[in-house]
Amino acid sequence: LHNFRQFRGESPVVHIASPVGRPVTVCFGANGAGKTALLNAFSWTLYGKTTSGFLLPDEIVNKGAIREAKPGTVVEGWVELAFEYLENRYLLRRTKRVRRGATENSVTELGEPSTELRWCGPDGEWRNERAPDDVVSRVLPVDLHSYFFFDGERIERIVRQEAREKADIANAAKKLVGLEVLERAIRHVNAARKALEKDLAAVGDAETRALLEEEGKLESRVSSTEARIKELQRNLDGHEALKAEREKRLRALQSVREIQERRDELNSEHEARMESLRGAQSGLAKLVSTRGYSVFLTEACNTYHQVVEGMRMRGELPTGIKRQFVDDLLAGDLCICGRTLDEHADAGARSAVWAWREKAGLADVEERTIRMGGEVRQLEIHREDFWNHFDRYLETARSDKSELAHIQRELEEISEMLRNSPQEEVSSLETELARTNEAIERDKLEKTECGLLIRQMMQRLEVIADEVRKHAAVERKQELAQRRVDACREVSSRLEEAKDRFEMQFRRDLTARIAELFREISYKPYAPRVQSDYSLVLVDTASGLDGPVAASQGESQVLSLCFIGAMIDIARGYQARRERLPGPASATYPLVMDSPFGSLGQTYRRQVADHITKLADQVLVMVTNTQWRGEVENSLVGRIGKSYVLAYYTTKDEFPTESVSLGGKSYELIRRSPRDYEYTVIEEVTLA
Amino acid sequence: MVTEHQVKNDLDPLEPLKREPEEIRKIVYAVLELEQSYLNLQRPHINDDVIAIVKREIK
Repeated sequence: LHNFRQFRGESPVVHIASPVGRPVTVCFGANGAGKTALLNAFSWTLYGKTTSGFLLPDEIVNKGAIREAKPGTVVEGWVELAFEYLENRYLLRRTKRVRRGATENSVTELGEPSTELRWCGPDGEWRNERAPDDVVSRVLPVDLHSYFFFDGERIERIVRQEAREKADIANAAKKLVGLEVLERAIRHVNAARKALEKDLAAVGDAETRALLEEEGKLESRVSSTEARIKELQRNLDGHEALKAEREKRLRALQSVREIQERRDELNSEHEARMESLRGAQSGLAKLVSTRGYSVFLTEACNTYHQVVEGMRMRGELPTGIKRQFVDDLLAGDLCICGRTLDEHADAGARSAVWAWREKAGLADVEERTIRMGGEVRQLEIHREDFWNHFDRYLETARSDKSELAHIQRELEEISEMLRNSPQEEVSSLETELARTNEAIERDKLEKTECGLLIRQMMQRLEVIADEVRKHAAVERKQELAQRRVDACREVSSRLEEAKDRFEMQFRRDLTARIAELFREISYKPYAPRVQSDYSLVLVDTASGLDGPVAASQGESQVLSLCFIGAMIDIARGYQARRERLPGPASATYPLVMDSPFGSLGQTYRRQVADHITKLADQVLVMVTNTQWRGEVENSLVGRIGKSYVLAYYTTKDEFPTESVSLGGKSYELIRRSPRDYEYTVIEEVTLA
Repeated sequence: MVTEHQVKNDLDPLEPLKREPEEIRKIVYAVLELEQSYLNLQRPHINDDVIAIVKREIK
């Protein structure tokens, strides 16, 4: 301690007796000497918290130190706590700084207390910890600290709790045995499940089914249409054969042979013209699609010519003198005539050369103009070419069409003539031939329509297949999401089950352990019970009714001590066999108790003292002379490993003498202050 | 006589966490380890980490 509360200057290090051998440490002090301050030194350093019995918690820095400091200087008060946890050693220091004003009462606080944590691993090297609070929380969670550092005069609160304190105890118990980990895991897994459930809401089955149904129908229509095309083709083949047969027969008839031959001639000419027309039409389509664009660039080409012409007129093209050349002259401060172009001395000449710079064209403008010129010319050639070909194709198509019309007319005339032939054979053959031709036309038309229909259906089938594929992907995702949601439910229910089992076991063990300790200490036929909220009640076992009894203050204190002892004991036991279940790591638990025998009667004082080392591995008790003397002294004296006196220096001339005898030596607990203020000094007692 | 209560009391608390199938067990232990490492925080924001564990184990 350094200038912490009543402890002026730097106190000697207070060692807590080792858990092996004599595990009890005793600090003796008169009322007001600083026992509660010493207790609070622990919780203030670890968590920045103080107990309710610790008055004026902001006044951390020793008053005497402030008083002796020069006005304007900074005075520090700090506590340093050394502890071990797992394999590491830690040094935690919390410091409060104040600045003294003109008088000792005008004190300015310099910010919040600062914390500094250094630690040393098995390698023996000390390091600075950046997040001291995190480390402290891992070593001993803040809501557990009041069970390890407690004010004995208020300890019965553990039994006589308010609702909030009951919740604190439940939380503390859960943390000690790792239940908190399970509870948090359940909460977070359930939250994860809710998030994953969102992936489930997507396309439903009905939609996919409708698509698949349509797909099936379309596919069967496609195949029936294809069958129809084949049928039509067969019909066409038949009609063509019939047609050829009839034409052959017509040709065989002497009277109409010439006419039929003329018709054959016309037919082949018709075919040739059709071929030519088709060629012209496809040539035109190709021409428009590959060269058609050049027609739309006429205006752009004209603009180019105008721009270039304008530049020529202004003398910008060709450039003649390059801007870069002028820039070089200016940079070199020398004109081509040999005259210097110094900025100050030759300002006139320089500005003349500068004017040339504005006139000079840009080299890359010229270069680009030339390159673009080539491209524009190419475009113009393409355009001309386009129109030449375009006209030619149109002309071919036009003449083909008019020739085809002629042929068609002549063929119709021939047909007409044959149909009206006085020879019945000719007339009927021609009529049949015309009918066959009609049938051929009809079937060809239907075949084309069927082909078109199939193309449309195939396109729709492709769209459907795509949709179905998408749905399938969504369904796979849904199925995965469902499995994840199910996994979360399973994990959560297992964690719940484990938690229930742990809690039941813990409560049972806790009750048994508290009862065991209570039986050893108390002489009343009462048994403690742990409620579901971890609060304690005493029941009268002798009456056979198991009804709750009102505990006295002393009994409540004893019960609270038993509760703490049992918690520590059980937490230790659980961790030893906790296998892989996470929870706070196993450790040696110290108990720091201020006046634990405060309001106990003679019997309980002795009983508690007898059993105190059963409660925890290391015990630090702070007592007054009267709390110590008698039963407590007799019980504990053989187990003291370390002891200290909190010697209080008073400013009064007259004060009662209060001393404690230890190891054959007497120590005064109240002494006359050599200064004009009061303070406390810690002295180690050397035991024989 | 062994009561139902006693039977229930003697159940191993770790047993539900160790049950098959493997992927559920892996999620359980990964989540518990995650919670353990954030025990020092009052309200750790680890929902996304838990979701990531579930997604990693269930593919």
